[in-house]
Amino acid sequence: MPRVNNRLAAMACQARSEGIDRGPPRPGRSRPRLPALPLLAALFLAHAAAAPALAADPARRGPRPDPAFNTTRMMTHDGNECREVPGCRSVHSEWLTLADNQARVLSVGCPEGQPNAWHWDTEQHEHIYVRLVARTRTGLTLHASNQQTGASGAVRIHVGCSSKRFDATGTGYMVSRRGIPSMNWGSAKEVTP
Amino acid sequence: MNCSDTIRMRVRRVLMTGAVCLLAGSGPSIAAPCDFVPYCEPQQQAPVQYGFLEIKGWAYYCTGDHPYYWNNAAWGGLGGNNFGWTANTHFSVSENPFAEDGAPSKFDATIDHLSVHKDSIVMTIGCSRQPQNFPAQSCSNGTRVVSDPKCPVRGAVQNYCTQTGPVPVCIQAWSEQCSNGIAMCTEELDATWCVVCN
Repeated sequence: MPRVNNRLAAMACQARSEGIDRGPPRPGRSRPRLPALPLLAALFLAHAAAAPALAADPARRGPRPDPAFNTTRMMTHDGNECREVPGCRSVHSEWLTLADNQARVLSVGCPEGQPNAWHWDTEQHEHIYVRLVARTRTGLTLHASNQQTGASGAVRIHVGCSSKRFDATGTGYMVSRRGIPSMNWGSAKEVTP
Repeated sequence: MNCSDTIRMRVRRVLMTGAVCLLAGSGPSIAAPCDFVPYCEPQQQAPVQYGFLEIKGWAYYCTGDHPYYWNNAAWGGLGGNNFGWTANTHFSVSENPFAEDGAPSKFDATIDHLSVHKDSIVMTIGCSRQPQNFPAQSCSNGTRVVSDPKCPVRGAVQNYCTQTGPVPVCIQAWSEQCSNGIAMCTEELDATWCVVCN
């Protein structure tokens, strides 16, 4: 803290030395002229008139929602949670709805018969971003967030469970999933070859 | 919507897709696993299904007696990508070197699927017997892989464990000071080998 105070003091000194705090005008120099009174009045009135309009503009109250997202597109569940998983049983979370700009952490555990958590997949809106934050032997913890689109969104997590212990050899593991903003792809729809 | 709007929208879509592909610098043609990586074998990973226009982060690991992944971007990108993929539609893969820090076996990537078709991708990564931090420039006649020469150990022994599950897979790495230079040694399970100067 003293360091900060010293820095502030130094800035104040520098400001004074640069003439920001000039004090009284020196003899021999002309006094700065004041702007004309009508001009000041016009500026005040213009500002007063604009104030309510600025306050009502949502863009002025915070970051603007990203219009590139198609907030109605639901990304399909592709079954990746059970790929290469021996004796896999897929379990899923409840649907989680996230308001605009909201984030939540959720955990999904495996049942007794197949207690080992392997891979995961989702069903989710395009504007939801889901990432894996922790793993235990029996479950996964994920963080889901809504990417400031002005709309709510939903996600459901699917986890592949097995009686065998998780092994990433030759499979790796998914770290995150999100959609590419598809509004600019016009009327493009998912196509199954 | 009139005809000119439709044409404009199509042109915009094509340009946007082209721009994304160009910027991503993607395509298996510039991505060759094991390019410029010594004692390397390509390790193919299981296929992963992708839907329409989506991005996934994915971590893959080199395993077995080739446990080291090399990030060739560390050479200013001159080494090219030490990974590749096969797919029927357009994917773009960007490596995340910061997510690989402290994990010599790990390849971390952000994989974009820029297509309106469902498709699966098969990733292949280049995996080496030699750690990337081996000072190969100090060996004027190249290197070779040998069994442990049992020279004096220099510095600390490093343990790298892959935290992919409750039972971590660990490799142990150390260096030895031999008469012809440094030997960098690795032990994984019951196998031990060293890379030495010729």
